[in-house]
Amino acid sequence: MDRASERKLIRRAARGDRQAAGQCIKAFQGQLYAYILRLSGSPDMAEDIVQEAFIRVLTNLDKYDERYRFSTWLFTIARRLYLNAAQKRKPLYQSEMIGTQQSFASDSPDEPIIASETQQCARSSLDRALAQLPDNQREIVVLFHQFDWPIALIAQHLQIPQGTVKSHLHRGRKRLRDALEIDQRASHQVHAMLESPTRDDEGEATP
Amino acid sequence: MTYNSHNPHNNPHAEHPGASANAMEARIDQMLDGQLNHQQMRAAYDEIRACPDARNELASLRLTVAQLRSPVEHPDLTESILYRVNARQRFLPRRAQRFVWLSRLAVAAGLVVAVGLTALTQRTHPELLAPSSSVRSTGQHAVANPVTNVVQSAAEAAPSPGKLARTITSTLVSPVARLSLDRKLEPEANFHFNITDNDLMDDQGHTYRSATLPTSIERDIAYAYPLPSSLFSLPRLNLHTLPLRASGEHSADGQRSPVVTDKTLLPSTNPFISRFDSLLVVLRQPPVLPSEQPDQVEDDDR
Repeated sequence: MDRASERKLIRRAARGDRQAAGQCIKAFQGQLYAYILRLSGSPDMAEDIVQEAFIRVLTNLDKYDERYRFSTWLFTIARRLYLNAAQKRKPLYQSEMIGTQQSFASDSPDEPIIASETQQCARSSLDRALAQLPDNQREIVVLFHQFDWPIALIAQHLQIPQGTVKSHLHRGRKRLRDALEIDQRASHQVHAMLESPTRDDEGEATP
Repeated sequence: MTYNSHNPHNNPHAEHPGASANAMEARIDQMLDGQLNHQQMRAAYDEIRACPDARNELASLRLTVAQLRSPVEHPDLTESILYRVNARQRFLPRRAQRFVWLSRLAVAAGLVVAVGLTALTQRTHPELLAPSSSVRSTGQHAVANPVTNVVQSAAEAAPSPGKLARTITSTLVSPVARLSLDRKLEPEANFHFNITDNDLMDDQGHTYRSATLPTSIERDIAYAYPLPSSLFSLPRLNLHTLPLRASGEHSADGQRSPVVTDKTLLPSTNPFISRFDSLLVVLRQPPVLPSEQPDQVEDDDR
């Protein structure tokens, strides 16, 4: 959506046009949901925050400054809501997540239960890799590479210098790549472990 | 990470692997950050192509970045959000929005104009807001006009009836049904007005309380103070057109003496500035009326 049509849409919504408000939600909810999901790792939290952010934005459209992109304003409000919510309940992204995952190979008697629960909570390898990044690196990498925000805008959004944004971006990108590689190696190992007993069984069964 | 070129002749940084690695990393970051123009991008490509490690590094990072761009499935929250927004701030059609805005503006403008006109009229043509000259005379003490004369003459004539007014019972001659009382006045009834208790009673024993008209007695004048909430309704009632004549008696030191009260409802000079004295009750000592005295004597004799 270009800026002119975005402005028209927002003005209509500000005048109480329900249809315009609906179009506005449809246009931005995907991005916002992905953003909060990447930050929090929790679909439930992402859904709650997306709804609350839109409600706040749509009931305060008269305060919207048209000099800025609507999405920037929306993301800023959603980010504040997320930070508040994250303080109240711990996000799913924990640095211990990978440790938990790597401990599957242990001989713990709880291993099958843990494995089962973890499989239920399994997310994509990308989500797991993102979980390894510190919050600020994860957010910058996501904003830059997923939403194509320029570095200057990210710096403004997070209120940090552009140089800091760059260094976080470079480190976060490499760290994400490394985490993905580790994750892939780990999943290969798990597959190999799952397949190996079957071969043994077949070997034992063969006279 | 160090970058080892397979062909050291093509690698300009082969003699300084550390510096080369840093420069190559920076170049890759610049490429991925999109900070290079077309020419710089081509030069960086040529440089990286010559180094397999750098090539792998760039490829793996690009793969990582590409994964981030994979679409995220999301629920459609449109209706849920609209429902909740509507609960807080009702959506209106555009015409209705405009109408609401215009009507609010019109009401505000009307109020400002009304207040301004009232204040202006009070200053320039106070007679327009003064009581009507067609005030009914209800007895021997006709209500004079202008009403300030009544107040002045009452003040001069009355010794201090306000001090003795505790037990005055007055019979109201004129109807006062338009006063905001807590019950409808009985038609054709005689009414008694107890000033100190601020109760209006009819001769059938009904009591009418006027919460909006607290009174006080200062010297010889009993004031009734409409509360601010009734300021806007009282002027519309044209209270000043309701001259009331009352008669009764008051007692002091065990002596009972007849009192005739002329009660006239005076309009306030300015309901926004004055002390809410839009209803003014004037108490007067009754003159001795020779024509009434013999009749009473005759009645007593019978």
